[in-house]
Amino acid sequence: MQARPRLLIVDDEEQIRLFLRITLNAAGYDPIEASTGREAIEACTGKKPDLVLLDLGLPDISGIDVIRAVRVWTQLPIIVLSVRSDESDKVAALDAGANDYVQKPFGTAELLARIRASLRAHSGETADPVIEAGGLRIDIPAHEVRRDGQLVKLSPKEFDLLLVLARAAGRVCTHRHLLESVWGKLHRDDVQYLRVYVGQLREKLGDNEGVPKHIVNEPGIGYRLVV
Amino acid sequence: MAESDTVRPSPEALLAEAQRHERGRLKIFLGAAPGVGKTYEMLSVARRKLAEGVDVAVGIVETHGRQETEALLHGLPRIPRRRLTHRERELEELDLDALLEHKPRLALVDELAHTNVPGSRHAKRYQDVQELLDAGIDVYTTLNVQHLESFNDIVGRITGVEVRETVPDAIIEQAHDVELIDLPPDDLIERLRQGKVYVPDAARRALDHYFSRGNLLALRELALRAASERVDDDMSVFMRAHAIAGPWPARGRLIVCVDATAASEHVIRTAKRLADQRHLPWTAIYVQTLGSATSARARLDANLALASQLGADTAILTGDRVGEVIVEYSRTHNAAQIVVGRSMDVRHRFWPRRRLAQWLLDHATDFEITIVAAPINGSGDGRPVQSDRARKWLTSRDVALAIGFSAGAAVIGKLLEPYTDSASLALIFLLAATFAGATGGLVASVLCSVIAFTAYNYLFTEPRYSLSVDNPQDVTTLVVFLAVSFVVGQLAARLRRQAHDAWLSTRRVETLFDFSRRLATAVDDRDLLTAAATGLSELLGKRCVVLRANAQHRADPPVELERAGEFRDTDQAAADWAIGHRETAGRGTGTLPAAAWYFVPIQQSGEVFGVIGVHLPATSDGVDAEQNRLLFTLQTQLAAACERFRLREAAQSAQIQKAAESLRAALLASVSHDLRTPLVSITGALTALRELSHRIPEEDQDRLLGSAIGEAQRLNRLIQNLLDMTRLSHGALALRASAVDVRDAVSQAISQLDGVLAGHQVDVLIPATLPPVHADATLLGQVLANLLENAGKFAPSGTTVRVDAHATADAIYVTVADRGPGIPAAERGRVFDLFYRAGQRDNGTAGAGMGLAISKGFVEAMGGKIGIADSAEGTAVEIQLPRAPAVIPA
Repeated sequence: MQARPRLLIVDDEEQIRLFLRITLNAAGYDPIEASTGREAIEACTGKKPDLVLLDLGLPDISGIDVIRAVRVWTQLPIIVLSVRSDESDKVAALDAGANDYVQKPFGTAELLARIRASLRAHSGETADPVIEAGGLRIDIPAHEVRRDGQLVKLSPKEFDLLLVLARAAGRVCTHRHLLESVWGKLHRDDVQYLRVYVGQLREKLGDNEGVPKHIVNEPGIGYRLVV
Repeated sequence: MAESDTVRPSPEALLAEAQRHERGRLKIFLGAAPGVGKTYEMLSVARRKLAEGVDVAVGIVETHGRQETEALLHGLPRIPRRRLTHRERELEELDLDALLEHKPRLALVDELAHTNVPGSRHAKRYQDVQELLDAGIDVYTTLNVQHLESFNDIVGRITGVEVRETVPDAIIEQAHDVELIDLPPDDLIERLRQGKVYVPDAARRALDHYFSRGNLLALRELALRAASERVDDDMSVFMRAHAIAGPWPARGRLIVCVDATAASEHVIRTAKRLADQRHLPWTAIYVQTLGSATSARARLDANLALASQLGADTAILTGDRVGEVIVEYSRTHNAAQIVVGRSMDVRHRFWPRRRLAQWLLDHATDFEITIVAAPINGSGDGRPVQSDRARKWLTSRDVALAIGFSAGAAVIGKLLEPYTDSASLALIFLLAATFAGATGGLVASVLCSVIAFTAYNYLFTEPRYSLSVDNPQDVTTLVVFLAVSFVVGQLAARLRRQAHDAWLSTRRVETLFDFSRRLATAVDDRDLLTAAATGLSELLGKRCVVLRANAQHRADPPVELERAGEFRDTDQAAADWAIGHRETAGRGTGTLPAAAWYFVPIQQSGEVFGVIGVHLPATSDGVDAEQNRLLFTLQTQLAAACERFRLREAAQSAQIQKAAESLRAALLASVSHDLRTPLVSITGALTALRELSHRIPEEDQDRLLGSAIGEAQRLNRLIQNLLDMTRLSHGALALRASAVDVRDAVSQAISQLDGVLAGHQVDVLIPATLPPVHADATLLGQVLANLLENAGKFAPSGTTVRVDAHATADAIYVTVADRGPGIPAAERGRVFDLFYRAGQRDNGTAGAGMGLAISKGFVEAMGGKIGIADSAEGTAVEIQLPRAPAVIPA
């Protein structure tokens, strides 16, 4: 049997750590804890967690500083736990290198789904030429996209965009990350490009603009390809 | 450039159109002469309007006994006229207030150029009409062309009859509609012969000449011109408002050269007509040379005022060479045309006089030069400005100085005669003439020269005591003496005048500087007005007030002056009018001249801040041209100062608003964080129990439930805090003070906080003998809970939290101390502010500073104090509360 993935919980609230500890334990993970930013950085080096659940509001240093410090030497997945009111903090955290975020307060099922998505993406980092996500099959070498077996014709830019989303399947991609990856650094602020291309992609993938089931909008932050 | 300027609708043009819609509309029935049927036509049109259902009222219509006109008037609603007694004659006037109150849609007001009986609100009827228009009432009125300001002098020259009643040209430009009532001259003469034209007996003879066929033809031509210019004007306003790219010439400017002579008046009027015809903006300029006399200043002011009244900008330039200054100015101001009077001179020192017009023709070759002939009969001189007469050419002072200095020279000469020869004595008289020039000016010097010459001849040349001269040498001496004394005296006089001018201009600069310094040191609005009033009073030598305009565009009344009876209703009305109409009012003006004050509005870029009032009781002199100019300059400074204050206030209020906004943002962030944190645990625990219960050991399930309950209680405390805080800030919290045992309060608080303090050891070191405090038990418990919760939150777990207390004669001190990071001394005063959190620099801890703020509120409500005590380690919060009154056992 595979070893239980080790998750580092970083939160200054004792009660939140308690429930996370119990929940993650029950879900088959090995939770370890830190209550400050410094402890968290230390734990990342010393205890080699497989994933970090990070609260942005820490008493000593900000969660974003923790991400930056950790990202210097490791790509281990980081999921940010944050309240809705600070959209800009979330974007900053994602830009600093966090892989995903979960909005407080959250249910257990949602949290566990996000943890699974991040762990899977991380483990499958060795490039897979074919990505399958939510009824879509993306064949990178062949530049081919099939929806339920049907070939979908995409322009090169549309394909690139879908590829970036698919590689992060299940996780959020910030506007900036998408723009830089597809259009280059010069266009990192041209959010209207995204709106247009995501609209076209949704149409071609048979997605309903009102209630999209493949490419979901995260207001103020970015897009997520639902797995 | 010019292209884009014309294509865009010009704001002025749009504004002009918009104003026409808001204000009442003015229709002018314009005629060439009395008797052409203006009133008849006006009444006919009004009857048609009445038939269409328009609310028409006759303000005033003179029928002059004409039956056809009377018949037309019949059936039109009339506003009764106001009866006034002036110089024991009963006169009737338009009742402006009644008309304003009645507020018809359309008012008929005959004879626009009429001058009102003294004691009316306005001096002129056209001002009444302005007020009606301002009130949104449409007005029909009649006007003869000779009453138009810019045609006035032409008419005078054509007919030889001076017309004193004029209306500004602006009024015809304002008119929404001008209808020309044209009647061929022969028909008019026929009507005159039939007696259909009203002519007062006294003026009949003059008017016989007036109504000659030639005159009437010329007048008709003028009326047609006025009307057609007006049509052009309409067209251009329309085209500009609708941004029609028309055949606009590159818009230049018309420059008119003005000097300090009466002839300039005619030049200005001509320039106005030229500017109107060509739709050019125009500027009247005067070039001040080094030697310009100040005596003609009043004439110059009058000329510039006329230009300004006719719609020109004015500028006073300085320079030695008039022509060059004019050309330079014209070039920099994109002039297309220069208008100059034929009689104007270029005065170059040491140069023979030369005509300015000729100079410009020779040198200003890239401009269109228009030379205006002098008025033939000199009618331009017909209206002398009062101040011209103010300085007589010979004053008694001049005579006294001349005689005094000559007599002095004679006495000294007599005394020195035994010791010196007659030629040297002549030098003494020369000295006298020089002194007279230096102290009295040119006239005194010439006079003194003549007297001294005579005296010298009489006293010191042979034969003595006669005016005849024997010795040819003496004749030479006398002639040279006279010549030298003339030249020296004149030089001295000129020197004196220049010194005086320099002194005047220095004083003026100092005055302005002093005034601006006073304004600059004012700290607030009230101070500014007081400083301005004091400064103005000193500068003008007259009592001045500065009144602020309030929100209703009226002047704030000066309470003290009113109480002293020196500021009456008329004065208040004039001040209000000046603010409302942005024009001068009160004594010495055309509006409400019965007031005892002269009011100048303080205005800048279309905004009125108030009025300057100058007290002019009947006994005092009026405001002369120089003072008036000073007043307007100071007004500009004052307006700038007012503007500055207003901007400062706006900046301050913006700052306050910004602070309020950031507080609101802090509140939201704080409340959102503090309310959500417990919810995270509760939601998490509950969802885990629902979805994973089969995998969670029973022991952990209990812990999850316990945590959820604890967090729910925390949420409840938080909400209680929020509610109490709201009630506290609204003063709705009712205190139930009694004697409370501090130990009970502390243990009650700790029991509320079991979860929070689980990781800490709490030492309660309160002696059992501590006397009770006078406090509200619930509030005290909540204060202690807040302090302990903070200690639990900020101090690392495993450390000790200590609560101790001691008593003094009248107070009890309770201290809650932890071993956490502590609060820097600099921040200790602020931690009790709402939503302030120590160490906020790192944005990590978004969170509540509510606990301490609420504790402070509660403690103060109970009559106590709270503060951060000095401690070696961690944070120590000290509460001071009053001791409960001792209970004496019965």
